[in-house]
Amino acid sequence: MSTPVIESAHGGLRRRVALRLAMMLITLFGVTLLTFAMTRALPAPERDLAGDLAGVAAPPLVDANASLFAQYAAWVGRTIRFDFGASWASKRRVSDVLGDAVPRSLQIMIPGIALCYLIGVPLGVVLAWRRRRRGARVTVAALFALYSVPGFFMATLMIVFLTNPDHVDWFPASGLSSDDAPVFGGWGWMLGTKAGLGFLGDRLWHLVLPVTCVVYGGVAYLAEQTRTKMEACLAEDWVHTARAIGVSERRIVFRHALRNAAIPLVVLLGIALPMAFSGSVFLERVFSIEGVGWTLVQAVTQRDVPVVMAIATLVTALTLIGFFLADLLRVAVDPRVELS
Amino acid sequence: MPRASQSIQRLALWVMTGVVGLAALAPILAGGRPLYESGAGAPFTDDAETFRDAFAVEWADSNIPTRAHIDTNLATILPCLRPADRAEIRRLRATLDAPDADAHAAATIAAIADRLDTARPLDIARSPVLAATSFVDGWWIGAFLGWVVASVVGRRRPSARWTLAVAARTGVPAALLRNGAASVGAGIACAIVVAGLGSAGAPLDVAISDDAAVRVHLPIPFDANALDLEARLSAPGSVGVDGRRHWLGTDESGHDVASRLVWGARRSLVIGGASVAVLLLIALVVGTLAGYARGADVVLSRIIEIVDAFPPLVLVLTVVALVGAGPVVLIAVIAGTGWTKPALLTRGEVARIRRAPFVEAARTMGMPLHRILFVHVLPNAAGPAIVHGVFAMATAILIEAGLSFLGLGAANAVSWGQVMLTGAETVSAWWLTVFPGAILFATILSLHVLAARLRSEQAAWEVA
Repeated sequence: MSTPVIESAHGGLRRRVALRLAMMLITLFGVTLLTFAMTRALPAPERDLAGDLAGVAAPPLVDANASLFAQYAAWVGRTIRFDFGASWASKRRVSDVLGDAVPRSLQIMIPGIALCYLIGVPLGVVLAWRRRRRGARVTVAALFALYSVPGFFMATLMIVFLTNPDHVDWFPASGLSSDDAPVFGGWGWMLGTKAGLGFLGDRLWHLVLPVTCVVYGGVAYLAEQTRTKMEACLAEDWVHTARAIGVSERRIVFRHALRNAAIPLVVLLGIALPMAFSGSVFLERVFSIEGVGWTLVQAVTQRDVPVVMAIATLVTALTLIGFFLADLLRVAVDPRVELS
Repeated sequence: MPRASQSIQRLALWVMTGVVGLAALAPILAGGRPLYESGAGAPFTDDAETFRDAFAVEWADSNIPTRAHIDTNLATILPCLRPADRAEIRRLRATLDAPDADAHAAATIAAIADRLDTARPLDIARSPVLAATSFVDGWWIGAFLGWVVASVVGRRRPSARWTLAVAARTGVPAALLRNGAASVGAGIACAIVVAGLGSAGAPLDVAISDDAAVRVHLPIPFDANALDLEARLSAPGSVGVDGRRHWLGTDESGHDVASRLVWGARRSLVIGGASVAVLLLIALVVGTLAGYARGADVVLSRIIEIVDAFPPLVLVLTVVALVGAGPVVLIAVIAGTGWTKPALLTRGEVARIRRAPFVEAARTMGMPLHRILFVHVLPNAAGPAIVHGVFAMATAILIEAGLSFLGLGAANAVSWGQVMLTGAETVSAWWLTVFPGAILFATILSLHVLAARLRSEQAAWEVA
């Protein structure tokens, strides 16, 4: 985490970006060293299992005879090329397993995160703007409660009450498409043909419940963040000044206060990056969507070490990249902040 | 606004008191053993039979495993016997370890069987206090009493002198102690940590005799691990084996849901409380050092950044895949990933305070560094980290429940998340999802409400 430094440091922006990058490299070294140490401490697969990997070159995770430095260098080299060896359970390349899983997670998380911002931020602004109204106060309390609902509880409730013929079955209980849905035939096909539109509708119908589960917590969190920041901004002296010189309330709220309040929200986007990749472990599990989170739990259950380590490594790398992007975004959005 | 939120905060405190109460009093709230029984004939006939026939034959066949079999058998029976019977049977069992035991084995086993035949169960109705201590581990009762005392003391505004004395000795910020709700929050933490240090307590499954004339069951008359095979997936309130009721229904193996919720509260609180205690300890030490010494800051900030790069849930899953999900592992991982945020909060506070006149004065007087840090700086800087600890406890409870929900919890552990897992597998049984989910949600929400209250009081105090 970097602390914003308000007073000007020496050197230009480029120099500071370089410094920040250097710091990140140190962190990256520490992180990879730790991950490597964990990989190295793992048990090797049994010999017959390793010999049986169908057609996949499966070098041992680390070559025990080489020097420690050579082992680390080899591991980094392979990791950079996304070569994580073969899954012990499915005997497929880990990169292929993840190649199947990542798009499924993204289909839930990208609309989910987008909706979080599209609903949460305006809601927070309105709640701050209309904070004296009874409705706003009730909504704030409701959002606080909603934020505390565990995601897997909400998801299971949906499965039990909305996909179950005993109560109502408006939505499908699992997966991303119906059994009889056609196979995806390209973007043009999907938007242009009747079968394609049917496919799209079916997919959206399957996405309703999982995306809702992603959205409710995110909206509650973002709305609360926006509201708090907005209220702090609206209490500042320059708002009184603006009112006194006759700026309209609407313009004060949406033009001036929101710009200030939005800065931490933009920074939160950095965290969204690893989240979008790893999907939601619980949602994918409850709705049987075979995304990254589902793959991770499956791998943990089967003790499929290469898959677990690959996901851990990638999520960690994305988290670091997300931190860095968040810092850059902060500088881009807020001219007062400089990189430390 | 203040009136509404105050009643919500009071409600949150009551909910948490209820959850801690469930955990502390679990042995007298839920269990298969009756609270009172009269007119019981020979309750241990079956066990006596086992000893008389099976073990004597087994001993003749093979010497080694029989001792283990006998011990497992006795482990479930002995706690239910009166002390005299218990001591006598222990003595007889000890003679089987003697070098020349084989010669007398058959006679000794027969003697144990005879003793069991005449033994009477511990009559807990005679002396409720004794019965409670034999049942309930004292740690939990202590924790619950601590909790209640903290709540009561927290209501009365303590005098400033008392506050400062406690603050100086314990390092708890005086700002926190000075207001009621904050003391309660600290009480929560202490009570649960004390409970976490004691054993998590295993539910006791005991076979009961068939020929009692009068029998009074516990409010929830089933053991958490008992299987009522005749009443699998029965709805809330339905009648199970020998007329006992499953108040909240059963799962597909016949476990009583109500009993599992009561015993599951222990696991949630132990893991939540202990991991937060460890996490705060690391955070306060690291944060103080990093905030006070610039040199340490460079290194510690890098370490914090490295730890932050590991997403908690992925790391927890990875570690569980490698080492399993025992309580100690869970506590270590949750604490190991969660300490960075409160450490950063403490670091910021310490960096703000270290130039304050009273710290300068302490330095000028030649006070040793550790005294400056831990007596003067830390108590004034720990507030935000402690508030964060209450949030972190909610997170830790969620992680524990979530892991069990994914089927990755420790085997045989009684946990709320495990009940919800059976609910997700059997969608027709709504009670398996709704009840554990509701109690989990109520716990998380209450902790969030209490933490928010603590935070706003702290902010108000700092302004004033």
